[in-house]
Amino acid sequence: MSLRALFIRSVVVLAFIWAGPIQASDRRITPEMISVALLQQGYEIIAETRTLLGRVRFVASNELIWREVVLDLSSGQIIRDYAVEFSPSNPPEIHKDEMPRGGTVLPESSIPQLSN
Amino acid sequence: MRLNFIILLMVLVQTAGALFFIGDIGMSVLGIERQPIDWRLREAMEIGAAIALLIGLVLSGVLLLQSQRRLSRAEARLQRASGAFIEVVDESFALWALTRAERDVAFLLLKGFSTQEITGIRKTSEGTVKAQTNAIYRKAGVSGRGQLLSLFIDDLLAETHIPTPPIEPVSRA
Repeated sequence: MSLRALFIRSVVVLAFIWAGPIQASDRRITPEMISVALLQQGYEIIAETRTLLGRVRFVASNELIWREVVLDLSSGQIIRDYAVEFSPSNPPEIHKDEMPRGGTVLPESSIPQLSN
Repeated sequence: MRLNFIILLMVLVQTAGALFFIGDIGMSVLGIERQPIDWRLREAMEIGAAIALLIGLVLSGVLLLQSQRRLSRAEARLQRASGAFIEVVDESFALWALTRAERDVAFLLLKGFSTQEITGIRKTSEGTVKAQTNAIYRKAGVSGRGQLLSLFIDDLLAETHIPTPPIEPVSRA
């Protein structure tokens, strides 16, 4: 195979790999879907911000449980979703739209899913 | 000086990035529970790693280009030196009035081939090669191969390295 043919073939393969997520647009998660799901699960959305790299980051709280969700808009995938529970005797220190540090990280199985 | 500073900075940035990612992978592999790091810090690390990668790419490209240039310069120099050496050898052979066959044998002698090897290469008898070798030594005024070679080495060294007498210490009155 000539170098030129190899180059064209690689470009075509790469284009298909790249175009993959766009074709599966029905499974893409949008920020609206996340905020609706969080509200349905009893969370109050404390902040919804665009990050430096163009992702959408949610910080939400349900009394002593705090949850952070980051959505990659280009791939439509959740790239971070975790929750921390604080004890009433040791409540979190809240700084604006920041996810509070400390508390116990909840196991993934106990956090209701957002993308269903 | 400034390039050194940039390289040092890049090494530091890359070390920080490597420690961060290796630490992340290590804790994940070992199953150490921890609260994920602040998202802003995480993105800053991502950006830092991307910049470090890019600069690393450019720097290694520049270094590769530089060493390539240095290599071709050294090769050119070597070629010039080799050409000059051949010239000196040719001139000497002409001066000693070596025959065509003697010239060939003399070249092989300089290259370090033994009498037997020269016999093989030139497809002649050992007696012929020995006679030619003796004629070469006689015409050049040397007693053997070592002296023949040293004639040319002398010429080369005389041009490049002239030993200077040691400087006498200045006495202070």
